[in-house]
Amino acid sequence: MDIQIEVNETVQDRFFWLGQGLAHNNLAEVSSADLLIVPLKDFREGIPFAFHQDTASLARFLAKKMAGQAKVEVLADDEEYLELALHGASFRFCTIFVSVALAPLLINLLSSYIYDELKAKPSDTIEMSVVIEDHQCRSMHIGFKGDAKDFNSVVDKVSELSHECMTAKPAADSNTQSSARKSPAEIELQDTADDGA
Amino acid sequence: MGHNMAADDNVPQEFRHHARPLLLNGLLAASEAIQRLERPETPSADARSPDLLIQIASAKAAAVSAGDQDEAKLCWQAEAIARAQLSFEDSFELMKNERFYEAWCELEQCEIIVASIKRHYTPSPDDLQRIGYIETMVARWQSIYPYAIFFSPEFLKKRVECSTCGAKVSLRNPCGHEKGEIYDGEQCYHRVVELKLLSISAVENPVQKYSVAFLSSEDGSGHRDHYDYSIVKFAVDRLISPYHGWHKEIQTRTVPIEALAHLLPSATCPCGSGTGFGECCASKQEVITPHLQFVFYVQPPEGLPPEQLNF
Repeated sequence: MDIQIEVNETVQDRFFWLGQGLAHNNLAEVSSADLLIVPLKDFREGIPFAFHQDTASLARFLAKKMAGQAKVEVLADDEEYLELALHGASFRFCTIFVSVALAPLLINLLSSYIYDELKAKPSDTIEMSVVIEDHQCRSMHIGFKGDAKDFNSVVDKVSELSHECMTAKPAADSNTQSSARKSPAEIELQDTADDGA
Repeated sequence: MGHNMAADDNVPQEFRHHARPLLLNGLLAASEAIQRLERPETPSADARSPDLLIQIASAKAAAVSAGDQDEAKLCWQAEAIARAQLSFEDSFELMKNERFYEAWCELEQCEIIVASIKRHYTPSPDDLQRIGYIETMVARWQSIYPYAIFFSPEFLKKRVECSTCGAKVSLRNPCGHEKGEIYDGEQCYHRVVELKLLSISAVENPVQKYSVAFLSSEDGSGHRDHYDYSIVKFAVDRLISPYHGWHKEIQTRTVPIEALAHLLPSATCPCGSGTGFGECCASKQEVITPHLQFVFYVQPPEGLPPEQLNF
């Protein structure tokens, strides 16, 4: 099949997701995660959040491979974690938030997961998306849909994007980041305010 | 491989006396069973021998009792290899008997078994158990089937259990068993015990290949198989054994217009455009038509038409 790669800046950044009221019992863990896997939102009427098949296994694989380097979390409490079984024989991954520094490693690990764990054939369809967070607080979304054999094109795209971000001047005003990043307590307060509204 | 010292050290004394004699009762070890599954195409191959499967099961039970997880896993591999070979041979026989849809379902089963083996077993360069060959040929057989549309369900899994321990599959409190791994000689899988059906769609590349779209029967009581299996039949008729390989080549050939004089203008154009012959190629001197050619690696039986087929 033809490769589809989308690159765009997304407003559904990490803080958007942390404000969805998920993982209430694990808010501290998910807020401080280096890699955060988020669900599909409003996939169908009556299903506000759901995950692609084997997201938990993927998270365990990434956590094991990145032990000591990065903290991997899934944005859900146990009772909120529901998986979908979808039409079509594709391997689908939920969106993963990752910093610009860890993005190349993540993509290489996903490639290894596809071939070594899932034993995907070159012609199998892969659907995945990552959101790369750079030091200017932008969230760049990269979506890929294509054959497993073409997954390298994501590696190239992420490397290119990472290189651009790493060589770009960091945000001049460090307050930009600190004001944008909310603590779990702040998010909870925000939730409470939303509930009351 | 197969002798796990650490595991044996943990085996109670009473089992140490029983484990090896049980293994010796028929098979030295699972590796011997895997060896006996080499070259299934030869007349002496014994994947079909009920004795072998019984012996593997017995060896596995002994290994599990002895706490020898490595040996139990090898037994599982031997069982899975035998099942893949049997399933492949069964699908071939079903095609031979023109039970094409059943053969299609068996090919899917074979594909699933091979996929489960690949996680734990790398075929030798010579592919002596023919697992690599079977994987390739299953895909080739599937590629010449006429099925194009399948029904595929979409659902939300509300409760999933681990097949190894029965625990609810949990994000934050995993039971410790990984789906696809082998525990006590059995592969772990996830069992969906509660689900919500969301939709059923018609798709081209389904998860479940058996969900072929059929027309309903005349009286509406069942379905009727309206598919044209002539290409599958053409290939299987020219093979004596499932282990006789083949591949297809899609080519084109030039047909003089005189050879198509029998076609009505309203007939579908043989060039494959999908439009009517009259408005497509009828006025040309020659028509280029798609041409499917089979290459058989073992000479087909005599008395059959040339191994070429037009569509």
